[in-house]
Amino acid sequence: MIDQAKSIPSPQRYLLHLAKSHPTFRIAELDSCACLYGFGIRLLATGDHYISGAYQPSSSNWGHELGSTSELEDAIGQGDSALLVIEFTTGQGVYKDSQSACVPVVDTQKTDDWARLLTQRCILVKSISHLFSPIPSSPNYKHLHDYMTPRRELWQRNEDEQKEFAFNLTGINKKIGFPRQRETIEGFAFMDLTSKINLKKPEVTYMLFEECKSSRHEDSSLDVDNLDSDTVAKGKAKLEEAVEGVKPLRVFMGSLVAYGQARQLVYKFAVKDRKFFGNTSMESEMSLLMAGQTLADQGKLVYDPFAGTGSLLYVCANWGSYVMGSDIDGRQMRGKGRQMCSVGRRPSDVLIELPRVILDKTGPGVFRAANQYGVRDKVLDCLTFDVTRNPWRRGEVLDAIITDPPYGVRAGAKRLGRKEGGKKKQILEPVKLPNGLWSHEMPGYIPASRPYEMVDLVYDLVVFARYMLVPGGRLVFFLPTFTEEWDPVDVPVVEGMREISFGQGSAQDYNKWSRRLITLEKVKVVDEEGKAKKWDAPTFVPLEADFTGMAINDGDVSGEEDAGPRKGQKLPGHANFRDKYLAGFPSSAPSTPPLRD
Amino acid sequence: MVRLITHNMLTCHVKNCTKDNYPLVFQDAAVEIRPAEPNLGFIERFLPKLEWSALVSTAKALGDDSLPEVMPEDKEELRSEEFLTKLHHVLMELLAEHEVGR
Repeated sequence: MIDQAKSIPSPQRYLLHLAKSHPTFRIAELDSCACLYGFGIRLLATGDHYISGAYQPSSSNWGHELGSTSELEDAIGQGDSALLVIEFTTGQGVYKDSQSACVPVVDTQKTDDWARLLTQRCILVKSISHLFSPIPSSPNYKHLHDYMTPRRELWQRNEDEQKEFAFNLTGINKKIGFPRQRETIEGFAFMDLTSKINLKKPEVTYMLFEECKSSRHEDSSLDVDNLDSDTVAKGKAKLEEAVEGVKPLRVFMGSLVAYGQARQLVYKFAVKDRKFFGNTSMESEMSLLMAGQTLADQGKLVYDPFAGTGSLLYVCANWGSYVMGSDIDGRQMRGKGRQMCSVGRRPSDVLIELPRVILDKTGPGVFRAANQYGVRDKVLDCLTFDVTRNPWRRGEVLDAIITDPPYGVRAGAKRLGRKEGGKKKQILEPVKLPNGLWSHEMPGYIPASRPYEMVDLVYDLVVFARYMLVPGGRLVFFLPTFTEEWDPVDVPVVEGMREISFGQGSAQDYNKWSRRLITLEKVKVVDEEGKAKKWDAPTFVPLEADFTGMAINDGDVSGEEDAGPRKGQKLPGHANFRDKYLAGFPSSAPSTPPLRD
Repeated sequence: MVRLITHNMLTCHVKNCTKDNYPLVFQDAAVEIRPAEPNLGFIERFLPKLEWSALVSTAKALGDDSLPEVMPEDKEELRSEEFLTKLHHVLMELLAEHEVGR
């Protein structure tokens, strides 16, 4: 057995310890990193689930076999386990069932480098280790010891057993007290490690993970409320003991390759410490996950058409990209301070309105925050214009578009123009002021705007991205959806844009609604002459369908209105999102009464 | 402020303004030089997307005539560090500011 393992070099398998937050973003993040640096990843197991073919025989049968990679993707997305086993392959990105088979890479030096890249780039990765434990995991320490004892080569590679070492025992979903840690570590005496222990600067760190049931689950044995009164009375020490007594669901072991370096960026970019932010600024962890999806890198150009306070710009700039932002309302980007606008003239000497460009002498907000993060150089410019009347001269210039479009709850999306059908009498522009000047040429002029329906916005955004992106460029944006009505077809499908998603897709769940992170990649489309197809600039004409009033129809508790003229017509999950949100997402199922506030 | 790289990408976006709308002309502009760390690879990749004559005329209007009137045809010259550094200066370090209070 041992001889066989030695003669045929087997690919090194890696154990990833992941953060528990945002499990549905895990694979997407790994995939983006792999795509950026050009290596492949094959997912093998998580928790006690593994895909067929990855199993390693051990003394007892353990774990649940899954038939396909997509089932494993779902299991990872559910986030029941913080640990994931992968191997590196040829190809690019995370392996999918639809792809042609990828060959595992055997060169450990190469795969170690790739693992380190993951720790530098992926903010959800806490550590990566060489896997010692069997796939998918061990149900207890005895199982792990029995598996490891005949496989000494695991820890005797590269004379690792002679290096100064340390053990690190991590309890997941529970704390492990020192006596228990010591006892557990001493259980590994069979490894015959004769070298010195060095806890401060070990050359090799053996990582042990003990995973318990998450307290999120209803049947949690850690539920403090359910402990009987005796236990509570005996105080904290007793409680700890009770916690310690919980049997681990599974244990994992490996030797450390690297701790996650990128995770600390979540603290670096924390909104509360930022010099400039607004009430709709994106939290740092989510901005970083989005930035990862754009494949932002040195010398790329990333653009945010709904920049707001620029949260997404700083994180992209952090990876070395040049960034540009625009917003219909420059006040969002400027913040308090002197307002600047530069009005130009076109050659024929007729005054026209130009994009107002903000200055940073007194420090418009976006630049102040960029300065704080040391990325002032990377923020090229911030422009004020309506993206539906954008001034871009040509397409195919951007490497990525990243945006969190306002979806009408805290801030509504707006486009230039006047709202129709209002009661108020509307003033026709241009207006000449008493002093003989045009109102729209005065500093501080704010043009009239009207709501920008979500359905139009999302479709426009995708078509706009197809026009502006270079082939292979990515569009990353959030789509709010009424969870109950979510359907993958809600993402507009246009020729030339391909969606990248894993499992059920990446979503941040707020119970009744969720926001989904959509990643679309521009693919090269070849026309009849064999040339890469060039796309026309979008027209930004509102879609034909009339969505007004549908929310009321749609959200009706009785569901009888379904028999109306719109029966059978699929509405995107984000249509009239604001109305539904404010109505408390009335459920279409009769059993649950709608929340109305 | 606006960098010339951005300026080069912008046309007039007023409805029905299709003629004579590029490049935008600066009015009451002041120039500021803000050194930026060069990324010549980026400049080189951006080169085909530039409108050269607009860039040169705008740079001249702002008082910088380091760029040749016509884009050099020699590929080697285009890729040379000297040329790209010059271009980097004009595109990324030359900022048009709005002159205030004058």
